[in-house]
Amino acid sequence: MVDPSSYQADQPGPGKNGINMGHAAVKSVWLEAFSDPVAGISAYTPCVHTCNLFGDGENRLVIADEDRKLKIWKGTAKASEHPLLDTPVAICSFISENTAPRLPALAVAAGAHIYIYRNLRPYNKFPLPAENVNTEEQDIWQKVMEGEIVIGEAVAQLTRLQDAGVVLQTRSLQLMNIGDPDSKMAFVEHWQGQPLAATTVITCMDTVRQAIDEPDAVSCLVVGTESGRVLILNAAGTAIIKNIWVGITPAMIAVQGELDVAYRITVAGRDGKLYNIRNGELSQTIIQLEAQPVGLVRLVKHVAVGCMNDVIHAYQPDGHKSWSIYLPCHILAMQRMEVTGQRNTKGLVVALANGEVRVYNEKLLVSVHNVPNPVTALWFGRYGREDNTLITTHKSGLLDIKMLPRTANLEVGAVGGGPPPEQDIPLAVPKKTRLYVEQTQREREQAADMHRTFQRDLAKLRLTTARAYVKVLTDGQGAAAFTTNTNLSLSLNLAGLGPRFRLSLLLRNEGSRQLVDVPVVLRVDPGLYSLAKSHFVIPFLVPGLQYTFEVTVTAVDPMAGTGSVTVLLLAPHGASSVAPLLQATLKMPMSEPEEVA
Amino acid sequence: MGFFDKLLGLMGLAGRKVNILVVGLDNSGKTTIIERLKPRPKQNAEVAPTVGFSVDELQKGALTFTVFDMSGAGRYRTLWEQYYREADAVIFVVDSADKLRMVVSRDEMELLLKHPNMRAVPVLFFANKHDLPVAMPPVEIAQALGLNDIKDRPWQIMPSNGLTGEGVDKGMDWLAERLENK
Repeated sequence: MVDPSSYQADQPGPGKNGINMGHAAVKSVWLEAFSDPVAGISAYTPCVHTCNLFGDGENRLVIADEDRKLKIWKGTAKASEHPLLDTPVAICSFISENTAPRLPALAVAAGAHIYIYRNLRPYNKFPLPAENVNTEEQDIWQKVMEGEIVIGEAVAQLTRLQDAGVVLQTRSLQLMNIGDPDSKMAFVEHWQGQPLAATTVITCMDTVRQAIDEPDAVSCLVVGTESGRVLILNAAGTAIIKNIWVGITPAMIAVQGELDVAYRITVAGRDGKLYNIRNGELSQTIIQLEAQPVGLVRLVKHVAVGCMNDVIHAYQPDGHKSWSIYLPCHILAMQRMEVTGQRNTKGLVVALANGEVRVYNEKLLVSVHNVPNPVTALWFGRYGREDNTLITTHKSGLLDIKMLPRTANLEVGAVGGGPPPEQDIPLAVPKKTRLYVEQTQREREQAADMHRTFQRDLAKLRLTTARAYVKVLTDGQGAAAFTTNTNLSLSLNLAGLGPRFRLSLLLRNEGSRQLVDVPVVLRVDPGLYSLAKSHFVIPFLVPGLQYTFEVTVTAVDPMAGTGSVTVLLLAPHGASSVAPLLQATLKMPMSEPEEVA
Repeated sequence: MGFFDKLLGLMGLAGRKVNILVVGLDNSGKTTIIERLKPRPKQNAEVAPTVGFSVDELQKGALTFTVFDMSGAGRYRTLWEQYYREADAVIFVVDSADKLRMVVSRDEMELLLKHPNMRAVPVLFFANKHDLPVAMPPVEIAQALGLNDIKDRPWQIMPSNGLTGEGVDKGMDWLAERLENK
């Protein structure tokens, strides 16, 4: 029992009902109502149900337990327990007639029968119709039981039949499996006198409304059998009104619509395919799933199917996949979550093998919370007087009841993790104009010519550029120029914030011959800057050494703007050309208004 | 406002008018408790689930209570906040036997107390249906609802039985005392 004093509720301000579990943004929306760790319940999702059994508006929890008991829970305690005749497969509640009081009857599917309880007392036992038995098989058994043929011969004939492709009954298969002849005899003795009958069992069960979609409207049972049939019973639960042959054993079914109007039954088969039955006819669209289905949930128009490869896919009835959710680990249980109230949200609850129970609204995660034990069954619906209750049973027998608060936010945008809203704004693609169309046509027709012309022009451009560059270098007109004879490298550094700057010239003779008496001239705009010395002569330049010369540049008027300094290394006396050896230009930065003391 | 009322007003003897808001989950016994506060001949034996809300006027000592009996059903709970501004006191009725929904009661109570329109008015909690064998004692209910965390207003929890009326008068006395002191 949950200790009420240890309850962690919504607190005003920071730290709302947050059970942080590694999902940075997603918290749990649930309120913890009740938890009983020793409830001793072992049941799977199809065997857990809530309904208004006694008509007093307080829904009871009905569990068809694996230990062949029907347990009824009211509020926080078990109200009663009833024995079941066989291990249950599924439980449903349905309303038989329109007359008041509309108390639902319970239908428990077990073995080959549906046990119907009214007022918690056994009322009716509905057997499944027998299947057709292969006549040859039946003959073989007849003969064996009357002693006309030997058991060995019977087994041989049965094997021949099986090789021919006939699906034998369980009895024949069992006989063939027994090795010991005496046991074989005993087996035949055991079945003496009983003709071969094809029995089939129920695999899944659900209800479909008859005429109107109200919670207390008349509804009929829909049953899936091992032999590959889907049966629809009448509202009283006494006769079959529709018998649809699907072909494969249905593992799970999801029903949508009303019998009188239009209905669709989605069947997840054991062969990994989804079949649709529309108004009694098996539809041609068969959806192949990539892995075996473990859960089937009906959403608005589409169905969400959880597969063994940890994915939940949502399929439209025509076969289109609406969305997929990729999960971190195996799915243990899935259940439909229809939130009634102001917001009518249809989502789904998924229990994962790592202890997480997630709530998805369409494909976006809305809430996550952790449970200590693996979940066996999930149910969402009205329990007690509260709609929107989540009931989970666990492998350890724990029963956990959580409720959705009135102000829970299940909206898609509440949690950071959905697609950004910018995604919904369509791109402003420019309109197709006539010119555009004409140009594209031209491109298509004259592709080769266009390419050739382009490449030729590009080559020409490159040539012109290269020529101009060479001219600049040789003429000495540009910012960096040198004659082909000398090999000098000059780098300029400017220090200072100004109005006083220090210009350092780092000069190195890269060539092999020394240079003597190289004049250096500095040129500035006299209105902007003044130089300490505007020209000087370098007496000697040894190859390989780095020379540093410093010149002070003063900004005449710091506010006047910036200019540039040009440094020219002239040809020494007696050189071949008059062009400067080297020219460099430095752009001066913005000067500080006053000298920093 | 007749001549007599005006006269009483002049003499300072007129009853002060206070607005009381009665809230709580559905089936907790709000309407039943209010019936018990009315004079005996006016009491209604059978009560039906309230739709929306109903207004009653009661006289208690010097005070005239205008009681707003709100419906507790899920779809009507959003109506409650419309009346928070005028409420001078709140009566919160809890079904002691409904352990399952105690957490929902707590959630609704917290929403009520932190609503911006709600002033720091006294709150009276009725732990109703305390005659039932499965009823939780008021101490447990106070713990489950976290009443010890309410520090900004006077509060009191009273066990009560709406059907017989026991505990109801004591609760109202406490409330009247708080309101007169203001």
